[in-house]
Amino acid sequence: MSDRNLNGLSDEELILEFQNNNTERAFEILVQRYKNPLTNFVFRYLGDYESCVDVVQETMIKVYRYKDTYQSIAKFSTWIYTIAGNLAKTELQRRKRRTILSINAFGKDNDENYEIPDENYRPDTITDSGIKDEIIQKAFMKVSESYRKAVILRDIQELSYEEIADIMGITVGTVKSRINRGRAQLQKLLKNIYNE
Amino acid sequence: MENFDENSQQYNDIIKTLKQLQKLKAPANFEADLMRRINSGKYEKEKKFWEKFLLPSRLIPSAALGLAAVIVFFVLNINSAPVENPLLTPPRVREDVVATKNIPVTPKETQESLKKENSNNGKEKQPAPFFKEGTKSYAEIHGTTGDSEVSNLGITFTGEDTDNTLTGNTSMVSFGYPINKSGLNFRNSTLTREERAQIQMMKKRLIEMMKQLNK
Repeated sequence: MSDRNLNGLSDEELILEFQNNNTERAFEILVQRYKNPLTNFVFRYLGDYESCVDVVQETMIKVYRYKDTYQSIAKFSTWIYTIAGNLAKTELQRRKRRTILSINAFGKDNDENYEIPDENYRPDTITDSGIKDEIIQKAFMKVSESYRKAVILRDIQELSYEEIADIMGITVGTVKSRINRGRAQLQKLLKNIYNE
Repeated sequence: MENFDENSQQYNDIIKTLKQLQKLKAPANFEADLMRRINSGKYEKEKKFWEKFLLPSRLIPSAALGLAAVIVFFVLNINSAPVENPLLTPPRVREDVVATKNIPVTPKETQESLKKENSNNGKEKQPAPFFKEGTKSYAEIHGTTGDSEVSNLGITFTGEDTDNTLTGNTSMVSFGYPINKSGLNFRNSTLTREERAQIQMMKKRLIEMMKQLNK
């Protein structure tokens, strides 16, 4: 199949082409289509660009290796977001464990009180959109994990409630509830920005 | 249930802010790196169950745990009370049966004379109960039968005759089966001289009484 024809195919058709004929070009097109949305999603979830790129690459590798496990009854986007979400969650848990260990080790060696740096933002330092983005990201990281995921998928990735429900494995009602709670938490954290 | 449309209005600002956030992009060399990783097989191959199981990091702790369990089992087993083997335990002693020792057996001559005497009297034969071995025979006591089968049977004294049906005295006669002494399950107790003398007296009285009754 020619390159032009492949570009005209939907995600589901591309993965089927990759499954049936092992057409690597189909996989490459899927990578091109999803690398940026997934990077954005994973970055907002993890808050770290390097880890985010690693997670997205792992996601693509999983798609490549386990292409046969995809079933055409599901949307490809749902499948790939689910993989990325799970890998991001694993990364977050690994990071939490690492943080706990490093804090313990620090306390043991020095046997002194130590201060965790205060990362709270100061409204007077908000000058441009870059910093504002950073503040929002920091606030995002303080929102509960499940609420954060739902808010990112809805308000940043602009997915439908049904797709989010499929990705998170919960009902649409729960999705809506989590989104609202996440928004409420975020609004509370960012109230200084809106007061300005 | 929450009204999500109202909430959407309420969170308009935050939704707007989130939508305006800068969209991040993957690095320029993303695809090249990815294809390099795929082609070089850098990604970890999924290990099979047995490969995972036989990893030293898993095998050593599990082996140590198993060893500890075996040690604990043996320690507990040593400390536990030994279980009584029902086949090796001696039978329980029966409190209600007491055998007297050194009860003199009536000589055969006496037995024979008694038999003759009884046969001469021409009295009816009475059913011979079974006596325990090593005590006075029923024939001697009863004085009514000349049957030789009962000559080796004995008599046992147990407790008191509460209703005085036999003698009006304090002793009671109980009859047993012809079982060897060694096979019996009774308590052997050594009697004092006084006790023996008392038993002998009681025996004599009983014999006399039986004779009187037979007359």
